[in-house]
Amino acid sequence: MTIPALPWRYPFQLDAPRQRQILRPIVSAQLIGADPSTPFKALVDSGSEHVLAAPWLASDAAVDLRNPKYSLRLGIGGENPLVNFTDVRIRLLHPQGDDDHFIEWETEVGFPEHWRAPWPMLLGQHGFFDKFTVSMHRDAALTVIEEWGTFDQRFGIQFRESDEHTRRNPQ
Amino acid sequence: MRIRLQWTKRLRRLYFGRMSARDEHMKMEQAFVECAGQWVAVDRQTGDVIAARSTPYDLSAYIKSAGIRSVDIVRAPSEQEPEMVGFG
Repeated sequence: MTIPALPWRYPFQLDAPRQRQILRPIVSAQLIGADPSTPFKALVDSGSEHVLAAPWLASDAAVDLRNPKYSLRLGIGGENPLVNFTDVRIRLLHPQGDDDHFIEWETEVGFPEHWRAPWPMLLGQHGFFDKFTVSMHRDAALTVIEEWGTFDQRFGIQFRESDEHTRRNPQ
Repeated sequence: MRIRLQWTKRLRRLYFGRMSARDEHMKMEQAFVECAGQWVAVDRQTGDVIAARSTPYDLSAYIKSAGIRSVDIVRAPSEQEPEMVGFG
């Protein structure tokens, strides 16, 4: 099966009707544990250091959280939930493709105790932005995912390899 | 400045030339009104809402049992729900 080459273009998603149009940068993704989860829309969040996912998604993908890699208390939505991190696989699904059109990688995903966001996953710096070149444009209302090295080719900047995430002390 | 404007127009054409993306926005906006607060399964290619359930567990179980493919699930936020501006 031929997977469409990058770049992949994802239209922004409209939020609920508000006083003005609210557009969210989202991509299609899937969590792979012992089982594959149902595909979902994930929010692309450059301001988050971590990839975080809703607790129900761990259940859906049969991810074992009994022995997390480490746990952290994070500031999420004004609260400080305990977040259990473990290594799992994530699939980025093609915006108009079948479920077989994907790019898969392994990374740390944190599962908070509580989750209120509409999107089951938040894709942050470590685990997403260190895998791809991510571009967004408000007027175009698009998120464009390209190869990781595209940024370097476009801007001629020699950036260092992404740091491996160091293990933190369990709390 | 001119180059920037040309680039913006080019991106705008790229996006708005694709009717499917605009249609998807309209369909999802309508679905969010009709299914506010529920979890919905959205066809990745057409933007049609295939199914809606009150919990992600129920929706995922239905999608898996029915063998439905090429859909993404997301919760349709309601108008009464405060607008989310950040996780921090």
